[in-house]
Amino acid sequence: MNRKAKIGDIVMDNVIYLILLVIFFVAMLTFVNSKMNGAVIWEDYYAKEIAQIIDMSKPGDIITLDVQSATEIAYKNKIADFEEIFLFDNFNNEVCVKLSRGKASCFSYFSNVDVKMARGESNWIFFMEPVNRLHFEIVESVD
Amino acid sequence: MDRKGQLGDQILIFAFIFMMVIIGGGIVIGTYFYIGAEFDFRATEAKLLGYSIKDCILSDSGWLGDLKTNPDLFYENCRLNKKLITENNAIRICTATDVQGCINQQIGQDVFAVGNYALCDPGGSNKLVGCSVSSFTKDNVDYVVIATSKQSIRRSAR
Repeated sequence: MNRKAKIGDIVMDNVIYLILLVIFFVAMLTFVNSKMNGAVIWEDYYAKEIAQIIDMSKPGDIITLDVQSATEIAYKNKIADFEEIFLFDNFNNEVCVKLSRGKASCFSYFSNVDVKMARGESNWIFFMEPVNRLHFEIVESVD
Repeated sequence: MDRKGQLGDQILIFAFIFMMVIIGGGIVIGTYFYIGAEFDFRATEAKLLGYSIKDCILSDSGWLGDLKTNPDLFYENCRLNKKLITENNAIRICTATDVQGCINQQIGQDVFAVGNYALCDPGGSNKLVGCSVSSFTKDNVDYVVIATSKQSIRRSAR
């Protein structure tokens, strides 16, 4: 009987089981962590609420929103540039919110308007006054 | 060489994978129960769309009568995005006194219609779409507006 070969088979079987177990463990950990972090849930919430506000607005309206929670989550998830958190796509009429690295959550607004930075401003988000705020202006659609 | 024993070892992997699927499924279901599913916005969007249309019709300055010949007037005057409304929503505007009357009205007799508004089942069990129905009177004419939404969040690389 070839004992070395048999030992090799046993080790190989166990290595396969171990690899599968590690893959499973990492996948579960990533899934639960992404959910517990709350980024996707808050992205969903902010995208839909902002779309609702845009749908309710008329050209000329200037909107100011408390986005303290969003900036805190983005900071925890190492989003370096806070100007990337809220993205307005006037071509597709959609608002995208990104609170973690990777994909953003997007939602469309049916109102045919454009969203721009508020008049005279150079940033979307203003910090510490006393909470972080998102400023934007609703204007007539150019298309 | 014990072939039967070896076969038994290899079959065991199916039991292992089966257990992982059961445990993984349990974790996923448990997480969804604990955190909750997507924030359902369809009913709110449908109500908002219905309100916008009602507001727009009430402020009509004569274009409502020309909708049959030029349906794009609706999108222009109500400041609605035609592409998105066609993709995500359904609308029906009728001159009727009740919802059923509006739904039963034949296509062509309504003032304006786009999309599959028949999915709208007020108070019913249809969970596929958010639905809103509003009725009002303008210039002694009764209007019913049915608006629906089926839009959900999209994940996109930005």
